[in-house]
Amino acid sequence: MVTNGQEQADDGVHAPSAGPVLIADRLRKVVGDGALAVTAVDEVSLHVERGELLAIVGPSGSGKSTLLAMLGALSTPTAGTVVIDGIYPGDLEERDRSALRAGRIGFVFQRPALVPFLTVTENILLAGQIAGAAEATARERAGRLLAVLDLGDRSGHRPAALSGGELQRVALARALLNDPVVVLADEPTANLDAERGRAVVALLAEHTREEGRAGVLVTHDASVAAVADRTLHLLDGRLVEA
Amino acid sequence: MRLSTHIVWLELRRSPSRLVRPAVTLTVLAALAMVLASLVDTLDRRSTGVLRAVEADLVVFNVEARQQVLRSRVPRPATIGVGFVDGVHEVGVLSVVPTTVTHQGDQLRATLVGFNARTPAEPVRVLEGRVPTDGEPNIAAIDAALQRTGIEVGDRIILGGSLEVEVVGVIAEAMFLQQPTVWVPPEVWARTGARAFPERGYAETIVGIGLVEVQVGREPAEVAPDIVTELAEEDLDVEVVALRDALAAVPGVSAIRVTFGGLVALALGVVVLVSAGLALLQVDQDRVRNAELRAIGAGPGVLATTLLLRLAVTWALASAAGAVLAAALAAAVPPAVPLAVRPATLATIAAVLGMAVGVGGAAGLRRVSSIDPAEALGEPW
Repeated sequence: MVTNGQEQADDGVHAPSAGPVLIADRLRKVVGDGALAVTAVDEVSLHVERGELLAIVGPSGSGKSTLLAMLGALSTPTAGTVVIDGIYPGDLEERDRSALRAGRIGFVFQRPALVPFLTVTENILLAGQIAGAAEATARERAGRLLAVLDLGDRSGHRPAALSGGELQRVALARALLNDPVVVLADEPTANLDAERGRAVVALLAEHTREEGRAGVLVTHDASVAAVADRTLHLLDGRLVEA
Repeated sequence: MRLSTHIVWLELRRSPSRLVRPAVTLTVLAALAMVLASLVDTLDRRSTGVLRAVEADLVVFNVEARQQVLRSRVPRPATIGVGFVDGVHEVGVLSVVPTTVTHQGDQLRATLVGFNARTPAEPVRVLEGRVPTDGEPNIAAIDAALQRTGIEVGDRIILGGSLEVEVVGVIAEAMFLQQPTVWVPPEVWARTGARAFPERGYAETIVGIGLVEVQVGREPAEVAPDIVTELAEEDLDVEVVALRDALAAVPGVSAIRVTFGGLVALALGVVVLVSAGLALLQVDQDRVRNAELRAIGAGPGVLATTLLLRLAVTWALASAAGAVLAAALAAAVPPAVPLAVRPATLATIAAVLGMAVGVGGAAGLRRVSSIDPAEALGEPW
């Protein structure tokens, strides 16, 4: 497996556990046809171990989100393979890919689009309902996540009443509800001030490591990436040395 | 389905404006379609009520009448022969003539209907009292439309300016060519017609049309040619048509149906377009959120079902509000305006409206089903 461009994070806090949970091998994504075709991601290989948080850093338009979409089974690569917890999403029907995402992958988006008329708890539970989780179990877990993420007093509020940081913590709780093996975060601090951004990423790192998940954090901010165990740099769709 | 229902239910409870706003737009169109449909229904019924009041399978006209009840003349003895045609269960006669009804000094136009009691020509729905039978020349039944002018059972009315009869019963509204009706035995019709139009040859031996009820298990269309053949043997050229066709042949009915039917269709066409617009707008408004739901594992079916349920709620709200508006308008307009709202008409329009909303919403369904989960990351691929 090619792992070009990988480097250890400065803090060196985390020692990865055995066996990568997320593997990408020679991923390539070409967008558009003919003369308009653009290679958004080119020959990217990486792996993420259990309990490891990997940061992918790159400027705008470098292909970070495109790469994350393939890692999260949101889009299929033009070439190359992704393996998530031993499963090849490229071999799955759309329905099964949806189930894979619901059950094994947690997503934190740049600007979480929570359902405005649902409360914080209901938004979190939505992930459980989509995954077909038992309601009692999901409620119990949502309660714990709300407490851990310091959202206990906001459980009955609607998204419009929350700050940006709180919204991201709700999104994180939603991502963690189904106990995913992989957590993918796309610029989760982009709309937050520095302090709130650091807090959210710290929570992401903590929940990734403590619960043995594989985490991928996409960001353009090197200071945010510093929280991760390793950092990869992406430029023009290719992994490069920092 | 359960998840979609849960989402839409909570949306309706907590954020009703998102559903009510499009419902208001649709309500205007629903009310318009319902009013137009009620107008065409009322005009149609007020033109053809006489034929709708009876229960017959076939109508026998003489050929020259070209299916016009007013113009048809059939010798009464010939109708007796129709009763012997294979497949005919029973036959009755019905005749109409324009007349006037004078009651307590007020005179109004009406249609006099001569009919045989206890035959397919007898009106089915008697609301009060009874209908006259053959051999009762001095009594009459009126329809509910005439009753609304103030005439009651027991009152005496003057037909055609000279024949006084007692009202003994009221039947359900059975107007003919927008006029209320008075139902009398055939001989009274003949006498009144002869006085009013001596040149037209009204006589007790002549009737307007024959009304035929076929035997159970027999198809009216199969029996009709045999009636024509039977009467041809008596040198009588007749045309036998289904009651439904006779209704359509009443003067003005086709024009009413085409004109108002076209307007209703136009309104429903607009509903299709508006529904498509609302559905697409809703999909586009919620695109990022839907992409995010897709990303976290919701299948396209969940989003499609949610959209469908939203449209269904919008349709239900619009239909209910449209029906209330149409009923309120019908109650507010003067009785002379032919706008009577019937639950069946409203239900039919609501159902058709639902189909129109469904057709329009299909555009939204297609778009919502094609939402790419990668859009949650801002990636359109």
